[in-house]
Amino acid sequence: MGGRRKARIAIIGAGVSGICLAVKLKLSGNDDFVVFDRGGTVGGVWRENVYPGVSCDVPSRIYSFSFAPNPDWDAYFARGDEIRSYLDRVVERYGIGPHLRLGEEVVEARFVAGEWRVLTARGVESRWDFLIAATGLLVQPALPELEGRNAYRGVAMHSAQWESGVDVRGKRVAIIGTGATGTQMTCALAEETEHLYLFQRTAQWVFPKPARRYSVTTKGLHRLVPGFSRLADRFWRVAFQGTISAAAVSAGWQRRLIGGICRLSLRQVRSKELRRLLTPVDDPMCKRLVAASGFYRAVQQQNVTVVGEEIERITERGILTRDGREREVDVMVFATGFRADTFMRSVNVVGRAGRTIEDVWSDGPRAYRTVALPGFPNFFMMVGPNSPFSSESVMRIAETQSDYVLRWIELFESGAVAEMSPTQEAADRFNELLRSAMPGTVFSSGCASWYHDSRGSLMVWPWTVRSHHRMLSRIQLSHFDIRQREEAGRSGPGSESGACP
Amino acid sequence: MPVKPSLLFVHGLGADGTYWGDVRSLLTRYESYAYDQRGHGRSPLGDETLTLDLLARDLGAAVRNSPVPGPVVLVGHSAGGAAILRLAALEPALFGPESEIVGAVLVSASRLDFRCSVSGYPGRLLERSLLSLPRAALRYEHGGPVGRLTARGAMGAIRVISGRSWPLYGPKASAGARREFSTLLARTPPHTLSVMLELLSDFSLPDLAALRRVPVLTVTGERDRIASHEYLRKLSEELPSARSAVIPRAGHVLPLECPADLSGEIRKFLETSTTPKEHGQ
Repeated sequence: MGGRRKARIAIIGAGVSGICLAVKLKLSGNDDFVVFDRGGTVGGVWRENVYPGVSCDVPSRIYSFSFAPNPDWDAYFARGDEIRSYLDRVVERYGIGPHLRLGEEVVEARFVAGEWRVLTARGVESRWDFLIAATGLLVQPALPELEGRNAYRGVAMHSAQWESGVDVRGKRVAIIGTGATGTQMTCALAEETEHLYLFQRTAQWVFPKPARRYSVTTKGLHRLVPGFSRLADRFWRVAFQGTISAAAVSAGWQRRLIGGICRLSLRQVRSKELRRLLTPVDDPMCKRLVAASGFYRAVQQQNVTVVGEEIERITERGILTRDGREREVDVMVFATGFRADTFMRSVNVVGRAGRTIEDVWSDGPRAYRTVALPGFPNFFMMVGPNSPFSSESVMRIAETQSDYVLRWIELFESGAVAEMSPTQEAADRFNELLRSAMPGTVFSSGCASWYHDSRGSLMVWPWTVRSHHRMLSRIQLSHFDIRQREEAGRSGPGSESGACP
Repeated sequence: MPVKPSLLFVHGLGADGTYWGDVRSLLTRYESYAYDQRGHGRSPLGDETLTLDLLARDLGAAVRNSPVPGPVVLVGHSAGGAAILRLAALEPALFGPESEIVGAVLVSASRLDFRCSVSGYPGRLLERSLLSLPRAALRYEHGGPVGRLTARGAMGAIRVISGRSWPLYGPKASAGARREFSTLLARTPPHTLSVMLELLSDFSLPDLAALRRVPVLTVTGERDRIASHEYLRKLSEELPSARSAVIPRAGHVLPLECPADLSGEIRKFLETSTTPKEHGQ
């Protein structure tokens, strides 16, 4: 029986969830970990998405870690640059810097003889006890199959490829897509451009989030009065989870309220024709609810046109729609979203007996309680499949999941377990439970959205945020296939020898 | 002790066989089984009056009808441990190196004493009110609508109290472990709870000669606030060759609070103990 031993941990991704786990590891006294990221800075999705108007849909008070409240939030719904600098400060304050391996893209991770062998694009191999995929959700840009996309002579890009050098002042701009990105961008660009065309395939409900900012007094209170931040945090959490989150998972007054607000907000559009164009056919919240301030004001400006016609193809100068009209533009932005069911598929993760992610996810991403995968020992996902990202701040999801992972690491370090992965049976039982709970949620009311994977299965959490927290508050050892130190590495067909320390 | 005995797990008051899931998952090298004690989980209460002797006889039957091969080591928590102690007095022939039971692990096996952490009159008051909750639930369970409401309130109070850190758990217990136990406890019939709490707060050490023939391990939590210290001291005097382990920062509900530490101790015990020489046959 092995005695105590420190665990070595590799985290892939220095975004919100990767930073969260890194800080929690540091706080628990573990120093033997690294965070790989292919980018040059931390921040993940907030580093990639710097288009004009990028902001968060979750109130900023709860879009921060509970261990690091932020008195400096400026907007009620934080802007991208605020969040970036917040994350930078967290990294700085907790001394995560030395653990970062920025610019090192992980291409392969293989579980061999009781440890994870991680290979980076530069060909460097390292060995770890635990592998954590904090690779994020909205990473892989989705581009529409449009004819002539290469023929266009102007500036064209996906919203995630926006560079700060792009100047749109006095130019004609086309935004393709009216999801969260397209809507936020419209609000930000309407004032600056000469003409803005918004190409809409499906109309969306837009929740009018307040564009308020915190006053100097409030910021001062947050900085100086102990406990005030915690109180505000509690208030926003209750307000957010009691309305938006609750509306998503069950019918009730919350759903009617949110729907009513969206409908009322749409009344701001005076022109009947435009209003009809912007009225969605589905119920509110069926797709990810789009939240933006002043969207309906922006689309009524003289220089903004909403185009509801289907796009025929892209020409050299602009966009040709089905009705035969060509609109000439200087800049074209694809606000067409991401492939949300990718998860960590950009990394070739190979578990026990040569099992790959592609093998086990051939019919859609499935996990055990959002964090683990059968056949992949000592491997955990942050914000993995079915995490409650529709109703909870990603920061808090990451905290819940980090605490769970930390509990496993503690068990490993105590010498009680050497390898653990959920049993197929436990994972199947969990997914069966998920499937049977989906019909009650608003997501299953029939519209297509990124909440569905490529096979049309739902990837959301059908219960309350509390139940997610509860489900991960305790390790149920009987759901796991556990190997202890002297027997680990002996029986796995994937391992070459029993050479396990 | 044979090289690889099988394990029979006996749960404590208010739990059921599933209670040992975590510990058993960490001891997969041993064949093991667990059962729901009378009045718990899927086992009905039956017609006989619930006593520790009755639970001990049930245990004896479980040993004789073992579904696993070879002799067994009994592992009992709290009331389960009490059942093992009674069995040693009732059926001593079952214990011994050549017999069915070749060892015992007594986890937090003690008389319950709610006055341990609070002394004097407040302690007595506390004890009385804790004991009155299941009694109230039992009494009003089949009454009118108001009675049923009272009974539900009493069970709700039991659930809330048993989910708090104090007095059952140590600082090590996770919120999930506490919730698990309080759910199990609130699911137990009030009759079982009420009778067993009375039995456990007032039971004396039986004749333990049989237990001196086999290796014994006692495990207690360092912060156990409801086990009687006096009782544990007497137990160790009665079993001088027993090995004992104290788990730091743990309370009374060891199998859920710290399955890793507990299974580690059991494993060490199973791997290294031999039959006490002076009593070996």
